[in-house]
Amino acid sequence: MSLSILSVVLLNIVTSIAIFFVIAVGLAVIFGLMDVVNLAHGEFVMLGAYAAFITSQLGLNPWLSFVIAPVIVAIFGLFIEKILIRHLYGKIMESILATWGLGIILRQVIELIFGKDYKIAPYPVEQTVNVFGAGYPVYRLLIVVLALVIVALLWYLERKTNVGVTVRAVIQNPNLSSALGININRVYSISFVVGSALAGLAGAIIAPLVSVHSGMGINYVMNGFLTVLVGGMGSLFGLVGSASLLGGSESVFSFFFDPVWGSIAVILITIVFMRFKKTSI
Amino acid sequence: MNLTRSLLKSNPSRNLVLIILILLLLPTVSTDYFSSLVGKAIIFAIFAISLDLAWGYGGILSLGHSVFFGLGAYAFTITSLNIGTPFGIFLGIVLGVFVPIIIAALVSSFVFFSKTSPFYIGVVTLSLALLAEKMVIRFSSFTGGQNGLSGVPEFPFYGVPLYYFILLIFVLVVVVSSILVKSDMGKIIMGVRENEERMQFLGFSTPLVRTMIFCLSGSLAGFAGILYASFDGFVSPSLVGFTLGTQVIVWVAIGGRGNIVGAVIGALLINILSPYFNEYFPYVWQSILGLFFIITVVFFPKGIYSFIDKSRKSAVKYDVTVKPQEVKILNSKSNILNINNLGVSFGKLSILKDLSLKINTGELQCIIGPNGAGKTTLINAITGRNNPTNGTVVIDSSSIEKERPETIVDKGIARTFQSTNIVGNLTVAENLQLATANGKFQSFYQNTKEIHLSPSTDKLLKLSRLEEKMTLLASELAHGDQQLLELCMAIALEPKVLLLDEPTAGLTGLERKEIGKILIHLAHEDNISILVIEHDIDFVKEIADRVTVLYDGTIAADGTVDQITQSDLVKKVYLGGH
Repeated sequence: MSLSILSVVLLNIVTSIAIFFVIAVGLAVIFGLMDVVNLAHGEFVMLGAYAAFITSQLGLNPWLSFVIAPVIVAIFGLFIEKILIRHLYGKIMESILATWGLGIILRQVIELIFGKDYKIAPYPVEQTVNVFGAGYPVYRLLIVVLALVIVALLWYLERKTNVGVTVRAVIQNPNLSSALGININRVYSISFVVGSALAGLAGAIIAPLVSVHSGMGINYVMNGFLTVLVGGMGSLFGLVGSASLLGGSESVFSFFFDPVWGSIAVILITIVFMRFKKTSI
Repeated sequence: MNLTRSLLKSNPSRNLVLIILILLLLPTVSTDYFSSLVGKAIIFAIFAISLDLAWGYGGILSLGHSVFFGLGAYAFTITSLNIGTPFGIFLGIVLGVFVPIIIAALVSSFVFFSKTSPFYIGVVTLSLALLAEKMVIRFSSFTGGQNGLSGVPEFPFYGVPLYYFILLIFVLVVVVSSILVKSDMGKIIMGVRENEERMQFLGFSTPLVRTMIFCLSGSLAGFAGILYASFDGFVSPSLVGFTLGTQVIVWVAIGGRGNIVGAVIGALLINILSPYFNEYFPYVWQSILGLFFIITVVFFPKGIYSFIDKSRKSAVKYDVTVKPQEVKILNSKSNILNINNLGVSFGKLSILKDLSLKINTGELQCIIGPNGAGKTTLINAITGRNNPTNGTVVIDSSSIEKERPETIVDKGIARTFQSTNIVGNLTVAENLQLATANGKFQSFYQNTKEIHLSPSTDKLLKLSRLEEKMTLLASELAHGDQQLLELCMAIALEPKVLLLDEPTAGLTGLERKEIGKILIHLAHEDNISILVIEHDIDFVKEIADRVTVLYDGTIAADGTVDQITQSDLVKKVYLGGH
């Protein structure tokens, strides 16, 4: 294997890990905080991707989609939190089913509005960089940078700010936090909005790499769920670790065999990992 | 007229008969197209029943049940097409049922035997459906890939006879599954759904129960897949895929999960209506179904069938019979349970530190100690709820410190929990019947209305007056009665050692006295060794043969009531003062 191929493979692994992470992180925020599983997360990602598509259709700078998509999906998330999620706090089974239904509706409505055909969102940067003689898209490297920024921001928010202390208190003991005067419903509602915004951002990030269509969410969100399962709820770095394990394996298997073997590897690793894991979620 | 009225008077089995009657008469009034549509809907109803068995009855949220349906269809098609003789068709049917069972067993062995949540099970099954669809497309030399396989062996008849054949199979499936869910085994399955932990501590291997129902459900789904393939003459990747998996969830949820009729109604209604609505309002109809699904899940978890069936679960009377008193050889004061150097740590925090304790036959031993001393952890470590970090627990010369809870129950150790732990959705009688099963699988078809209790359980049942409340749901009992029921269930296991975690918390003074008498009787007359965690020192004085003081994860004192209450140490650490 030549140096250029090797470095491209390695870079693909790193970007694949970054993509796993950005999709899983919004899900982990919502599940970790609220014990609510948002099975429509993939559709939220899909909405973000459509927002990126619309941004370019309106002739706006593609960079703007990194702002527009999270904002639109966050507003949508706020609305959904008010009418649906609020009834589901702490009820895992119901939340899975209800958000599953929400996913069905979103796929149908988007298909009704935009049709069945695949949409294309433009790359904000089209340049490539030279990596040992092979051209590598700058955009893919940018994804890694964005993922690192998200990690850093969330870590800062959680560990170094008052918001973080409040949030950790609510996770540890919602009842006591409530008794201490923390408005936990507001914390929940904000965390759902943040989770939604992260989903929207993830959608905008992956939109140029894939064909945007109503059913795109499910495949991405599946990897997101498996990443959350393996990473556990508690820690940001657990999530980074599991994204590395699963995203890395997927791209290695996809490279040496084909993408189906990549998917098989991700699922098998998760099941085996969960079998021997001590704690449960 | 009378017949229709009695049929319309709601009751699940009557409703089923009514549905079957309508389906029977249908070909006389409908077009061939419509009959064929209904035929397909009936096959989907069988598929829906399979999901209802796993999800509604077993509590296993399988978001990718289409895997089993599609596997059945593909296994049948590929085998019969490749062999091409009647034997090939026969083998195809066998494989169409068994391949899903194997996959279900494989999934179960990983999923149910680790710590699970609905989220984990849902995600794994869903990912299997997504994966299966990809694999069918990828390995196209077997499966025909995206184009699917056509020329599937069809039924030897068509039209109305085929319709009636499908209907006949449907009726058989309905009858068999109704018998199963009402059987003694059915109660165990529902017990595991409602309260897995209690079932485990009644000695059931709950992962095995779940595996059993999941495999059964998978095989029925595979069977429906075979029927579908043969009925349609064509298989395609959509049969294994995630969309069908979604749809079947929607049918069962809207119809009413945990009820065979509910699943049938949901599947029939939606599958008969969908072709029409899809034609005229393609996206709107699916969105409305989605919306309806959400509303059902959030506000009417039992689906539309809960509006039809107003009949309250009729209280079934159970006969109580009492086993003959066993004559036990009393070798008093012999050790039954030996705990040596037991340690339990969670990370860096050690709760129990090298604790050694002997429990004697027929002795009533109380454990006291301040909060956080490790009392409940001790019981958890003995019963396998937490595995000890070090040390041994030996009962009758066999080590149990690494065993699973159900194995430990089988060795003769029963327990109650600090916060009552019963199967709320079943009646008092059914709860007791589960306990008398002693962790063994029961009949898949018989519905026994008899409970065979040990003499001491019967005595407690009478004393506690639970005998008069046998037909009530356990969740309808007052708190004290729930606690007594849990105690009855623990004793019904006929344990050698009984571990009780604050059995009198929340009871009135009078009730305490009664329980105290019963405990003394159990220990001294029935020769059961009893370990009671108790806070009420006066109660302890009344009942205890021996008192052990637990403090900071070790045994601070051990002796008779008098020795303990006189001890300075106890006065200091437990009775207050510094």
